[in-house]
Amino acid sequence: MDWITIISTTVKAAIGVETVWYALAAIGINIHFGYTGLLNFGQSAFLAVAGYGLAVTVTVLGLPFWIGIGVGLLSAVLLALVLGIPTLRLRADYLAIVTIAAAEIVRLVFRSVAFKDVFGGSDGRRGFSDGFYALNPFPEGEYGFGWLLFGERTLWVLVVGWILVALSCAIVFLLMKSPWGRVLKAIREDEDAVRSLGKNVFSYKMQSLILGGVIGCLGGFIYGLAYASVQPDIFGTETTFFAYTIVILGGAARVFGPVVGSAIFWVLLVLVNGVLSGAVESGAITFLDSTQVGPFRFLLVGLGLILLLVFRPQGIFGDKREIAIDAR
Amino acid sequence: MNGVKIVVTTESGQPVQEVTSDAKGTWEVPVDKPGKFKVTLDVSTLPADLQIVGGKNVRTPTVYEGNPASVLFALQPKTAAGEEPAQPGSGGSAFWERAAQLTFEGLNLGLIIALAALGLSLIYGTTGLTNFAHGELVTLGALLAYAFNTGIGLHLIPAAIIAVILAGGLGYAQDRFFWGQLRRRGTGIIAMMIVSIGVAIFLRYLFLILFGGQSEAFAQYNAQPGIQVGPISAAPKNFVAMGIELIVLVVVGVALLRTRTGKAARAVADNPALAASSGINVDRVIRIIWTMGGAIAALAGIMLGLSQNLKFTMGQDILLLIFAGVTLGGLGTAFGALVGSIIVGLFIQVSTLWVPPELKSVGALAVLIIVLLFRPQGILGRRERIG
Repeated sequence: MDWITIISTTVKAAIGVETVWYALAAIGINIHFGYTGLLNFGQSAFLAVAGYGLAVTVTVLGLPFWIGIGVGLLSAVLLALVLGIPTLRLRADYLAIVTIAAAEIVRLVFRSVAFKDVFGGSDGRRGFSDGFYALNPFPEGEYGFGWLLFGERTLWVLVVGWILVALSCAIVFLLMKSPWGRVLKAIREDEDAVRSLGKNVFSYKMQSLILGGVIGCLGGFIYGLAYASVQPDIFGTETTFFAYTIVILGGAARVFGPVVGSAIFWVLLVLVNGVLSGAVESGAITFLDSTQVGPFRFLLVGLGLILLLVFRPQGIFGDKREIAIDAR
Repeated sequence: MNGVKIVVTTESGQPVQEVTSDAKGTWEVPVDKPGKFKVTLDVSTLPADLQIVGGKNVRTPTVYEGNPASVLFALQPKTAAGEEPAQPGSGGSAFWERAAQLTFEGLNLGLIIALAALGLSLIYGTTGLTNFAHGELVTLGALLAYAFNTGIGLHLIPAAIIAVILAGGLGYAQDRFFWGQLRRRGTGIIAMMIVSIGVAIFLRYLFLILFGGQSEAFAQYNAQPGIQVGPISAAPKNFVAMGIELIVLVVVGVALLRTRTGKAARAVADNPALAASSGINVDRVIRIIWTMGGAIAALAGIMLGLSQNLKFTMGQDILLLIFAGVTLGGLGTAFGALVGSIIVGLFIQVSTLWVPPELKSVGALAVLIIVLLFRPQGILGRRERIG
């Protein structure tokens, strides 16, 4: 087994692109689910509209990069409004079904042949990231030390991505310490009590949905820019479910929970992949072949999610009293 | 027309396949992805006295994922040069024929969804669990039947019966050893919902490992020639499948209305605490519902595998339609799930009269959202159910 490669890819995964964009999606979910108790299963749609907002603005309309970012952010806010107005008055499980349905609608429309001219069908859109890389301050070359090397493009994505993660964490930290954040947590604990104090619960939930959606949508930008393309099937329901796993793993209603959760999630996935692939190649494992290693990792994700919820619903850093897992 | 050469290429001219039509004049070309294709009929392989109506031997159909596109070359005896061939009258009757055909297909889909939805709805009603792994129970039934069918070589009918019984047993085991234990631990409803997502992911990838990522078909009843009943043309297996589905639904419905256990099940779904205090063994009822729910979800999977193909994501793909049916009818009600599912199935198929087939599910999901806006309790639900 090639331990150097396994360790280096694992260390890279801890700070890699996947960790960044899943962390952003998970921070958004943490605002919805962790702090407000909203069971939004449509987070992938926020990433999708942002990524596609940017891609379509730049490639189809031919407008500059910054306008694309603006369009992406605006579509995330619009999606939150469209999603929130009908659903936020519903009970938690209804909200879950409606948001997951809405996310599927968004994905199916993006991949449809009927709108192929705009969204590019199942192949998606590419060639919209030049504006972003034109801003790259790093000259061409490899950065890092030893086996931990990144090209200048990856480094630029990672720097921007981690700045966004840090900013999002700071925003969440400050907001949740504020009176506004305390109202959100109170809504999670007892909606009726908050209403009886004269607060407009619907309005607070909507603000939470928009804020979490906008932070999550940054993950869509990072994905699109890092891979210089967007495809509809990246933003399927499983993305949302993995982001939920990340939030629960790290600890819901904790500022750094989603970030740590994302890093651990991807480290484990990459590590298991490396070790299993190595073991299969060297013949130590015979019940899997090399194409089955990928699915096997995700099987473990499912198993991990079950075990977490059953034995440690608060995750690594969470507080059991702060988890909104009992419907009222 | 026998022996006519058909050449299929992609839009840009890359060759896909060449086929020759069979004795009935039909041909089929599997394509690996949706998009526009160019179909050319080699005129020189036509009998000398025939020509294509309109004279065009090239068609460019758009193929959508999961839906075969049909290309029809109408033939007619060669006419003398300069004489205009008579145009066949096409008008309102074609539209209604298509509507009838789609209604039939919608009913077929609706009944399959109804089978799956019945179990989901009753499980929700009795335990409060929104089971995201129900789609995987559908897949499980289909794959079990496939395993007995092609793995052991049983005929599909005994294989299906064994699969349904086995799936019922697994449903029982699932509640006995897993969900029941979670309930005893006092796990919250939302926690259980997220656990069910974990179960769904676990099972889905287990299927992928065991079954692989490709599409398969059962060994029997695979390609059946269609028969014409009135305006509807369908393979005989579809009529039989619909008959079985209807019988099962009626039997389950009658059992819910007439038998002691059925009445107990509805009582538990209505109010578990009250049912328990009136002497009903709630745990036993829930276990029976899980057994039955697992069995009929498996049957739904087998029927789905008959009308489409088997794939490890087949259940996941209809899960949201099941949810749509259940929610439309009213979460937790048995008969609401039936009505809602059939409406969803009909809506999906009939809407393809106006929307592209790949977007047909979008319409159904949009209707789900609109219904929740105006009547969140569903068609047969009661107002108090939504908190």
